[in-house]
Amino acid sequence: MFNGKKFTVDPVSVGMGRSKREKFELLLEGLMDDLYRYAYWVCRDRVQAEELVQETYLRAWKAIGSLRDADSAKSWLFTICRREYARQFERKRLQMQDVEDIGELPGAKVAFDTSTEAFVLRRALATLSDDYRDPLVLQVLGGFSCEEIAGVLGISSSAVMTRLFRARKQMRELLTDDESDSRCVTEVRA
Amino acid sequence: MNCLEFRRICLSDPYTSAADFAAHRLECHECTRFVDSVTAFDKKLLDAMQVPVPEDLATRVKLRQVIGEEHARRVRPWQWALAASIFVSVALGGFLGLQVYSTNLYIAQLQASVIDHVNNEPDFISVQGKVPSDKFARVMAAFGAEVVNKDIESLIAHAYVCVMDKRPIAHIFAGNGGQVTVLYVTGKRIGAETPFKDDSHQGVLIPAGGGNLVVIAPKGEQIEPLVTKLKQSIRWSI
Repeated sequence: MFNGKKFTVDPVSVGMGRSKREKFELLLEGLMDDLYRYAYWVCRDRVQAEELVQETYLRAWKAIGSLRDADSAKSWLFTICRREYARQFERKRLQMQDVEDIGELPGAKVAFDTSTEAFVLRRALATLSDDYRDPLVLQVLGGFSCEEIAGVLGISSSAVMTRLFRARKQMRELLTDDESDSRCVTEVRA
Repeated sequence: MNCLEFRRICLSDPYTSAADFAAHRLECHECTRFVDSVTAFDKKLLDAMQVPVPEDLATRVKLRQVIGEEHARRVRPWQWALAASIFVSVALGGFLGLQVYSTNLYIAQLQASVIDHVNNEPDFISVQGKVPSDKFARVMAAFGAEVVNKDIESLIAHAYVCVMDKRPIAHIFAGNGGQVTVLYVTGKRIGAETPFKDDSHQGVLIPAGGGNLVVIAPKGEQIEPLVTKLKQSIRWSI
């Protein structure tokens, strides 16, 4: 997988024989950045994403005894996050924020890609419906297989493949429209 | 696998390691370029998805976890009070339950012992006459009781100290023809007067002094007048 983050947490190190505290620290160090980004793309709100991550880890701490297989640590954590989001969404009927509001954070860990291309991609991604965006984010950002995505979202693998196909197709269409719009603007200016 | 099928899978899962997918990729240059374009697009998308992560988020996660733990561990005073009162209630309930069980068991054992004792001393059942004037008082004094009304002696046929279940008891024959037996048994004092009976006997246990007075008679014998007289005539100092 190109993002190389599928096994950011060493499967052996999260395994049995370690204390609850050590396992938790490994989950935090190895997966928090990916989890935060996933949380952001699920709710598209920085403040809520932070809340979601904190709540996810709190629940993970309580349930860490049930994590037996180190290979599934990441999907386990993302599943908790997805469920927590659904719970919060049901409770609060959260208002979504436009993706354009993402900006530089004071003291942020990594530089934020402010290029036009990245902006256009983010806008296209935000335009997708939740059903299509979710599996695409899990595959591209999370590095999950279709089976793992199916597990996180609680749907079948074939449904995941259909959604991923449509998500990429829609992204292509949206970006083609954007390119056409850009060309029109250039022609008018000329 | 044909090109259409390949491209359909490619848009769903360009990272699949399926053998037919890999084989088609090797033999079809157009499809190779297609899958490369998809993965290149994903790479750009991944870069665009890299929203900045707040630097202090890990610290906040840890802090929240620690606070959550401490909160769970911390028990408020009212919770202690509630827990303590529940514990005391349960303990008291258990103690009282045990006491009741233990008392009931003792009463049952005492009744059985008394009936057994009476049945095994038949020679004295038909005692006639009256007890010597101070004999009854001396026997009762041995168990810490004082006969305050000498009139009761007219109802007593015989009185002596004997042993029941390895304990000394006062054994008194009273009533008409010594049909009524009165035993004074030291030991656990029961809480209240308790009547009892079996197929051939009737009786009553009366808490008195440091033990219990047992009045037992064959079925049909009147024991109430004697019980009343005993209560009026004997004073317990223990």
